[in-house]
Amino acid sequence: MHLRDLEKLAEKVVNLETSKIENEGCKRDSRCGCDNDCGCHDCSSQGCAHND
Amino acid sequence: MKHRVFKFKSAKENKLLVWIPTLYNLYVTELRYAKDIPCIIEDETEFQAKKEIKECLYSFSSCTLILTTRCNLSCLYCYEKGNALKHQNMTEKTAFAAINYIIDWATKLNKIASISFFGGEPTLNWIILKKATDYFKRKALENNCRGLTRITTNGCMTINKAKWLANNIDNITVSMDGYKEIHDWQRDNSFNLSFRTAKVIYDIMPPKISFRVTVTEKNVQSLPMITLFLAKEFPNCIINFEPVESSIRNDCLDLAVDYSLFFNRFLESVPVAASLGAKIRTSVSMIGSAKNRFCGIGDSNFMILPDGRILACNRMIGEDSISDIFCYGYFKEEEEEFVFDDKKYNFLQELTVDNIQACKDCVARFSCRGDCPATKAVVYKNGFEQKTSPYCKEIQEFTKNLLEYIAQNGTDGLAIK
Repeated sequence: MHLRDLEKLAEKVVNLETSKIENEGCKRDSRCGCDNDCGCHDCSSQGCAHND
Repeated sequence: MKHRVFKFKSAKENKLLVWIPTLYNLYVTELRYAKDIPCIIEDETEFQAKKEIKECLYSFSSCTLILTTRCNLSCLYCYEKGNALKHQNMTEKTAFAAINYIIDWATKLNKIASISFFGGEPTLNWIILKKATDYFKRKALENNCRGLTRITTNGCMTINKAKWLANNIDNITVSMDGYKEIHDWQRDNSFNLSFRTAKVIYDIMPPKISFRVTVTEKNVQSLPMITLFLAKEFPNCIINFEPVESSIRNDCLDLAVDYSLFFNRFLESVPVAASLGAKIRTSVSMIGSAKNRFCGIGDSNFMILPDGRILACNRMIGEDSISDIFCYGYFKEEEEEFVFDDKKYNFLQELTVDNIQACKDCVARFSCRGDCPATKAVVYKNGFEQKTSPYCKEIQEFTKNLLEYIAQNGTDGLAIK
C-alpha cells in the first residue's frame, strides 16, 4: 500500500511535527514550546536551539 | 522509502488509529480497514532521525556550566545528596574557557551558541553567573553569533536577583512541585521564596519562565490540580513533569511513583493546561520530534563541573564507576584546553535507540528513544546500553493513550517537541 491510499481511507490526519490537523488550520501558537533537549530530568540544562 | 505503521483500536467505537512515526502522521480510520492497512507503507518522503549537526566529535556549540555543587535546599529526592560531593564553585577561568570553546564552534558552524547554568543551585555562585553571562553575550556579539542563555533554579533568592535573571537570561526554569503544601513538603519549605521569584520573573518577562515539577508518590494524584494552580498563576507557561528518579538513590524509594498512575494523571492534566493556554510535557511525551537518542548524551551534551570534569549527564556527577561512564574528558587548567577521551565518547555516541534490538518495532520508539541511559546504567549496570526501559510497558501504553488523546483533541495543552 502507498501512503496516498491510506490517506484516502483516513477521516482525520494529525501531523505531530506541525500539530496541524487537516482542515482545521495550524494549532501552534506563537510560542514554540519546544526545546533542544530530552525533556528528561534536568533537561532544561540543554539550551533551546530554535531559531524562532 | 518504507515506513513502519502501527495500528491499534481506538477507544472510540469502530475507529482505528494508525501511527507512522517517521512521517509524524496519525490517522483515524474506520476499524474495518484494519486488515487492509499493512505494517509497512511506502512513500517518497525520506526520514532521518533529528540529531545535532557536527563537524567533528567535539564541535559543541552549547554547554552546561555546573556553576556550583552547593545548594541552599535539601529536597527529599535530590540525586546530589547521595553523592557526598565536595562543595565546589566553578572558577572564572573554567567558565570563560567553555564559553570561548562553544562560541568558536558556533561561529564556525553558523549556529546558535547556547549556555545553560546549572548546579547545585547556580545562583549561589552569583558573581561567576553574572560574569559568565556578560562574557558570553559580549563574545557572541563580537563574533556576530546568536547567543542563548538558560538557567535552572530553585528560585530561592532575593527580589533583585530574580529581576536580574528576568532581564538577562533567556529561558528560566524554576523548580516548583505544586502548591504550598506539597512544594514545602518535597522542597525544604521553600514555596514562598520560589513562588515570589517566579512571580517577579513572570511579571517582567512572562515567556521566559517554565516550571519543572518533580512527581512523587505524594503529589502524583494532584497533577491536574498542580497544572491548574501553575497555569492560573502563570498563564501560558510550560510545565515539565518528571517522575522522581528513585533508581538513582535507594533512600528515596518510598517516594517512587507508579508510572501508570503518573501517565494517567498526566493525560488528565492536558485539558486543564489547554483551557488556560499552558503546555505540559514529560520526557516520553515528545512525540513530535523523532530523534534516535533519549537526550543529548553522546551528542550535544557538553557539561562542565567545577572540578573541570566534562560530563554527558548532569546527574552523573559522582566519582563512582557508573558516573565515570558518563565522564568523557576534563579541563586542563594550565593549558586552558579541554581534553577529550575518544574511547569513552565513542561509547556514549552509540547510546541510541537504533542500537537496542528490542526497541526496533516498538510504537514508542521515537518518543521513548530507549529511555534514560543514566537510569539504565544504574538499574542494569553491565550491558545497560542494550536494555530497554525499566518502564517499557508503561511507556508503550502511555504512547498509545497519548496518541488516542491527540487524535480526539489535538495537541493543545501539550508540548510534544
